[in-house]
Amino acid sequence: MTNAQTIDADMLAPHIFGTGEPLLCLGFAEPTGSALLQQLSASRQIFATPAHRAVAALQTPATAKFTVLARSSEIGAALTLAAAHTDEIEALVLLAPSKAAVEENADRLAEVKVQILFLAGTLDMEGGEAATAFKRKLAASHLVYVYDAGRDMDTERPDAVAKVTQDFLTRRDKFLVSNADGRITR
Amino acid sequence: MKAALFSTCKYHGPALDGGWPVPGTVYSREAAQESMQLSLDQFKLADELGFDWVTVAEHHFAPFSLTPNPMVMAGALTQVVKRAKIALLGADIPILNPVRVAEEFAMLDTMTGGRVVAGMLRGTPNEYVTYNINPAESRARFEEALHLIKMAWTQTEPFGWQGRFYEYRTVSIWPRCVQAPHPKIYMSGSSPEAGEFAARNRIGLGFAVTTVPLAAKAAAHYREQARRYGWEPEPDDVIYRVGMHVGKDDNEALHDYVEATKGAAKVGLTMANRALESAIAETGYYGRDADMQRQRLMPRNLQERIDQGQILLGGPDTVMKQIESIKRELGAGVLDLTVAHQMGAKTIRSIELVGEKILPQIRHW
Repeated sequence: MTNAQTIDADMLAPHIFGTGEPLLCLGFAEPTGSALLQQLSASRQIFATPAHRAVAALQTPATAKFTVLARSSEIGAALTLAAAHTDEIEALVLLAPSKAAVEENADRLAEVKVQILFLAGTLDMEGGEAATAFKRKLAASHLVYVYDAGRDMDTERPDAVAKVTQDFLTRRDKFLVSNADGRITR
Repeated sequence: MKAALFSTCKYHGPALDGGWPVPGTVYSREAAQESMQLSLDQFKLADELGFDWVTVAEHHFAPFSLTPNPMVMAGALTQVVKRAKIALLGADIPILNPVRVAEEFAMLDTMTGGRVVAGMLRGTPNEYVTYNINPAESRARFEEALHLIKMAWTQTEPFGWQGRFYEYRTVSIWPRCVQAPHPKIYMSGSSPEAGEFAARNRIGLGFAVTTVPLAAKAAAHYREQARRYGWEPEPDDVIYRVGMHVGKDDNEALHDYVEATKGAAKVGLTMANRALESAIAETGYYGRDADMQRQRLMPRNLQERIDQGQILLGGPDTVMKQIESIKRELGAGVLDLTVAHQMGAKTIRSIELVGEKILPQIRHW
């Protein structure tokens, strides 16, 4: 049994594709049509599901270690998952946070111990401000701006989002160091 | 109206004529040192005479300019120029590391207590050969680099950047700029695209190596675009760079200038290597108004240069009238007066005449 198979695929969603370590993707309306998820699926097994179903699925014992990628509307759900499943969830990538997400999750942040990457589009002023506010509260987290993108960065610049996401998921904090020749492993 | 003294820190020594890049075969180390000291002395004089700014710029691989990194010259100026603003017009940001540019400007702003003016230019076409940057990417690189520099100046949390041309995983510059949120930014504005970008981003516009009629047309386009974005540029938002030599009277100024420029190169950096310029033009470097952009770079004779507002030449009264004309036609709030040619004591006297006879008058315009 692979790690990925330990997640209850039936409860999660029918959108499971790709190969590799499991990546739980929240907030993607058309997962199989997402250029970002298609790129990530080359090295990750994508589990795209509505957030409420993911929360339910993760109430069951699971042995898999997995990471979570969440679009703006599901950032609260991703943080909830991370706080509740500290043994299973290793890292979060959170796209285009909102001011509301900062306010709604302020009390939860102390419980979140995983490594987090916030991505904000340079055309998305609210996202930039919210990501900055999150970064202030979570000093160990990372903030990366995706140039020339707004709140829908995953559709506007999927290559850029995939590149930084893949790098972070693979190397976590080590992603700060250039790895052009691939010498740094996780 | 404000006045700046601009010098490219020209090399005054033996050099092979023509072309770009210029070989260093007959380069004189002594002449280069003296040339740099001369520029520092002239900037110091301008500061003492009441010039509002002193200006340095980036150019590479030619005796036309000994400031391939104007930040270094500006660093020296922070110890010499005690009152005037130090304008870098500019850093050629598409060919540089934007984070480094942000850091250098912040250093200079800190060292001067907030007297830095931040010109962000695309540079002349030949500069793209200098560091092997694709000129076709010039405008897109410029826009991204500028955005990144502003972010580096204003974002207080460490941040990464996933750009189209630039990628950084964490940026958090020290020192920070003294001027809040950052120094005033200018960009070159001769092309319609530049005017539109500057208007959209509320950036000041500078004109160089152009004519007053062409600059006036471009400035009108900039102001029209600015109104579209809901703001009205101030006079200080427009800089006009112009050659300058002032003598006791018109005859003396003209005679001295003609004598000094006999045998001098008649082409600027861009047209010094026509094959290279032509190749760069093919990349689309000049934008949608390419013919006009290339035309403005063509060499002109002295009378044409005077008539077209490329050089202020004459006694103080004549030069005042020329400046009035520029002000009237272009609405520029900052004149970037270029030491037109080094003539030793006559150049010093020219700068002094501007300080004594002209600055007191135009300051109230």
